[in-house]
Amino acid sequence: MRSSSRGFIPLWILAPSVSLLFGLAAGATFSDDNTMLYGLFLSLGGDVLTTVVSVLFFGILIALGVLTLLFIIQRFWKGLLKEEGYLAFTLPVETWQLIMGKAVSALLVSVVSTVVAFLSFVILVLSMKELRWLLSWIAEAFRGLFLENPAWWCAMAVLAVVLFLFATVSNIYRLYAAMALGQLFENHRVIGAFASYLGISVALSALTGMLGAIFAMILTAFDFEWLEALLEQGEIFGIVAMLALILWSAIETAVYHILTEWILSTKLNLE
Amino acid sequence: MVTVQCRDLWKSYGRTPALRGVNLELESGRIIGLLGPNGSGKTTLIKILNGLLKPEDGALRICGQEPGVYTKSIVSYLPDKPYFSDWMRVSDLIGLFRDFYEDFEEGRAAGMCAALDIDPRLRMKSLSKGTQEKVQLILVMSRRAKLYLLDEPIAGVDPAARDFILTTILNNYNPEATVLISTHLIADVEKVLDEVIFLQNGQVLCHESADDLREKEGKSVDEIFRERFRMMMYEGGER
Repeated sequence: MRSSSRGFIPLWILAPSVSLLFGLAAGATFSDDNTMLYGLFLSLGGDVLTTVVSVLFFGILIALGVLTLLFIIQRFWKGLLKEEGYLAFTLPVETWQLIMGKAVSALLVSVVSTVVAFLSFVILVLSMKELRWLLSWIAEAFRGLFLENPAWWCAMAVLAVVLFLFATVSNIYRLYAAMALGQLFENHRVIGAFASYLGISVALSALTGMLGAIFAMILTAFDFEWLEALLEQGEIFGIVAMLALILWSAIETAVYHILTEWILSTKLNLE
Repeated sequence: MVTVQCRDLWKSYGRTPALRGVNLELESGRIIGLLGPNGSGKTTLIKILNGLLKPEDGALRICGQEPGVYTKSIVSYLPDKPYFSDWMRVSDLIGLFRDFYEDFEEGRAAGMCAALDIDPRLRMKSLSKGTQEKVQLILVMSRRAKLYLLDEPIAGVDPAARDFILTTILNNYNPEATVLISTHLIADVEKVLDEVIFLQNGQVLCHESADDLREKEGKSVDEIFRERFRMMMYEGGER
């Protein structure tokens, strides 16, 4: 965790810095405001600079996403399924602790990367004069809605954060389950892991589609007045929907974890 | 005291059998050679003993316990390949062992590193292959374990390094423990062995005291090994 996350630190610093530069560069290109900083950008060639910095900005954001994904995959693959697994699996700890240790570090890196991407966006908007109205418009709109029903908005904000965390964890565990399944394919582990990931995703889509259809059938077949009343009350429905999504992510995580732990406990096949 | 008890252990990789009904009982305070040609099942047996693999059939007890967290805390395992992350410094590995193994003696590890002029601040990837292997051996032998499992500790190293490895094992193992050394380089290790186990095609051919075997056959263990396995090949047995 320590070493791998070290590679992220430059990116975590670079992303907001470049977004600030991007904002200033774009501002310099489009603004009539001839402050010293804008003047400097203009003297350096506004258009070229804007292009360069914008490519850099989006490049860094993409790199952040790709690196986060690679970190999640590599720490599990190398740390548990390759040579390092000889050390990990002979430590006096349970297999679930090893998996959870990897998941916690993956979650931390994912959360920090997301926060950095979000902050970079905010910095970008704030540093571009032409876009500042967007942020104040969003803030105004939210303030109005928030004042109408502060308790509900607070609850939704907390649930949104919880859902983000649960959904991130379930996605991490889906990758782990696919890699654990992949190592069962003797000489084609990587292909096996890819195929497993696709298989799990297709099965999941089919399952959610089927459950949705069953739910709709039940609703049309029977007269659930209480449910209709619930659906009409948008606020309660919002909370229930969020809770249902959190529960779904939790169930998904539990299934992936049990599958991964079972494979690594009983079918471990280190290279 | 019996450290290892195997009853009818079976393990296969797909359709290829690796162990076929292994029965063994290993006593404490003994250095035992697990000897056999490549593919005879030595590494598989060691991986089962340290909990990396699960047998398909049979029973296994390490100090009276089934393989699990407790047995991992009393088994010190040296794999036949490096198992550390490149970024790690020697001191990181020492810290890791200190954190996870109660029986790890940090002072002993530091002393051995100092004796070999290994700077703990160095990264593992900056060390030569031989030095990396030595660091791994130092870590494994700095534990007061009840069972040491050393998988091919002298394979692929020069004769001087072999002497160092064997001396380190002899000077540092817990005398109340069992040391199981798997190798096919018998001539180099036979002088330190109390017992030998011959493994062939996943089966125990012989488990005897090294002295008794030498006395009975009037030859060194290395010669007996060569003779028996050569004979099997001439008789058309599997390699």
